[in-house]
Amino acid sequence: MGKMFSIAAKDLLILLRDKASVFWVMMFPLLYALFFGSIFSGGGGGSSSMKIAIVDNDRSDYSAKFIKQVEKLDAIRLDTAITSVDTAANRVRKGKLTAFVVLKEGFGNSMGLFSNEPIMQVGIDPSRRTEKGFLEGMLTQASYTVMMQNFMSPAGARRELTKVRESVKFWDMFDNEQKNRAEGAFGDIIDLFGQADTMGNISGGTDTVSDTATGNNDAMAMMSNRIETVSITRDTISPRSSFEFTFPSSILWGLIACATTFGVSIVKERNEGTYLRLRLSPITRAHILGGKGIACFITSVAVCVVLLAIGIFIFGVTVSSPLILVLGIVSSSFAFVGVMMLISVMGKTEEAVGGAGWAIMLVFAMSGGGMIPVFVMPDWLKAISNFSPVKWGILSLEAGIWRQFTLNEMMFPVGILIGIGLAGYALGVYILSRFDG
Amino acid sequence: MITARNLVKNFNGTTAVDGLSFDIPKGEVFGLLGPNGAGKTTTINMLVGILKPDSGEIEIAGSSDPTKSEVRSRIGNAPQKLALYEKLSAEENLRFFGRMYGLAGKRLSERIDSALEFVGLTDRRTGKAGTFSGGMLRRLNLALALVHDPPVLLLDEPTVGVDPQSRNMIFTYIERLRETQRTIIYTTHYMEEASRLCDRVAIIDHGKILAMDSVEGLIEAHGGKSVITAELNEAPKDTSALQGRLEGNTLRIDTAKPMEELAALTKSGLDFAQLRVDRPDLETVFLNLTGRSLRD
Repeated sequence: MGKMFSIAAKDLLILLRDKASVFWVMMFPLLYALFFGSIFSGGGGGSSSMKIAIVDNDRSDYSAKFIKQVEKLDAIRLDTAITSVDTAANRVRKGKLTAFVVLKEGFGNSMGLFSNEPIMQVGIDPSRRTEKGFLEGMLTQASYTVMMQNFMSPAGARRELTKVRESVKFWDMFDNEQKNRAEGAFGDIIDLFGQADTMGNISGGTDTVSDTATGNNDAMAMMSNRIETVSITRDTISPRSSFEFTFPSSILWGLIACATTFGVSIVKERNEGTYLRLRLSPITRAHILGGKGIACFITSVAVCVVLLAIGIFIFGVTVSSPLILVLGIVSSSFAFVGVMMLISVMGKTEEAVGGAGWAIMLVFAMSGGGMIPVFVMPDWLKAISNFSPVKWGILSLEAGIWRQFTLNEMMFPVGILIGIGLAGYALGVYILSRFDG
Repeated sequence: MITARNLVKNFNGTTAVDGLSFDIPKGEVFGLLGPNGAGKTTTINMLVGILKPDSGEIEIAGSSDPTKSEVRSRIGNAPQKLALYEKLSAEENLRFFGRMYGLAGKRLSERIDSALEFVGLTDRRTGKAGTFSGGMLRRLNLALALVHDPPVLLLDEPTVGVDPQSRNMIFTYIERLRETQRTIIYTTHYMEEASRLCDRVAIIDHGKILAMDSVEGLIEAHGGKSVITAELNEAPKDTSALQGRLEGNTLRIDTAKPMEELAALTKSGLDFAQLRVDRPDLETVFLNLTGRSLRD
């Protein structure tokens, strides 16, 4: 076993010293993930905006202004075609929308009052805690912006203050005398704004209302109390960002490069005489090929870990199940060790093996979802994709990232990948032993 | 130490080795001399178990099965084709192959130092093999065969493609190895290497041993006579007592005993301008045995 690990260590050292191999194994897949991830996310290079719908049950001027304000937010994409709660909830369930918002009847009238009564409902999958918090912040920001806009005209301010004065009678923290005094004070201020009608708008106008209106933390906290959450569990599980979609594909490109690189290294050793020298030492062919397999496996796992780490820490890829992901990484890497052995016997020169290896790998990648996602393929191509190790590799990685596979569901792709690894390795060793005579 | 009995190996109907037999005792440097394609490398590969003979028997390092680990541990092989990793340093190459032979720790480090020193590469131990000259690569190739200190060495054309200076260095190393009582098979198509380094030489062509003996024995048996060439200042008027053929002022004498003939000539009273003795060598032996030159 020690000799096999010595062979593996030697191969890893040689790989690290070969800049071209390092590029194909590590850098190319990363560039692939970044390039296609950016394209699918809209070319911005960052995470995509949140798609929501707003169902307006209030149908007031206030709610219309609120919706208009939400539309202005860069972080939100509003689907304006949806008008019913059922449709919106259905879209959230199917993963077409991140969330929906219902503006309850009385939304406009009760906005700005000292009350804990919910005026908005947010329908979202309970697992999307980050998105929920972000959305509540955006809704609060929009609410206060609209409220401040209303105060920017004397008529609007009078209307808002009248609403407040009418709500004073419900303020439980005051006794009757205090309520009377408060109503009086609000009345005086309303009169004052009535005289201001003749003087025009308060200086600055509506356009000068800034987002600093949302800067009051107490007000933010109060507003969040007025948003109630409705849990809508998604029926269809889908990637949370384009990078969760492109990183598994890119990792498979890394595994393809690993298999091809180590496959070529076997034929290179045969042609350069080092394989013969190894055969003359007191080790068996199994030691030599085992060492190669270990080196390929370690490199494959390292490629998976490094690319995933970049995806997680820089591009916000989240892992739904670490255990399932580990199973996916191990089984995919194992499968491509078998593929490596098969590639190594596809010719007797480095050029032949390298050419044939990449050609076959391209077919596997094209048919297995490495270039075009399997779900957009026609049925006949989907059937063919079942014969590609790339398809099962991508599936096993997605299983741990966003598909939320259970251990039982995971057994099928893992079994196929282990089978590919064992069959490829055995067949490759058999053919190589025939070459050796 | 090494025995081959009627070894035969065919490749796609072509006989590469055709009934080869020899015995090599411990401590002997045995040369396999023949042109390219004579069957030398095929013979070596059968001796170490890389190729299985179609028929015949082998005994090497005390075993008839050269594929056994304990047998391979006792054999060092410097293949004709350089077999090393160019991306690794000289030391890393030696360390890796040393491990393959079961060496580890202090013993491995000692053997690496010893092998590097033996081939004069100590000061280049950390240099990548890919940056070495042809001669240095040959020397490293030899060091890799020696790293596990084997009693049997198979050196397959160890001077191919090297400059004269490196070739002389390799000769020196092999002469030093000879003093360590190792059994060495040395294949070459350079007759001067076989003459200088080998205790016995088998002349091989088309997979067959044509002759096998010490260099002197081969020359004596198959080399023919020496030729004495004398350039005379003045040709003698009476040539009746002269040995050999007189052509103008040049006298040529074919003789099996050149020293005795030279002694007689110096007493003949002839006035010599130049005197030269051409002794037969392995080239002549090969020419006489096959009708063609080693380099044909």
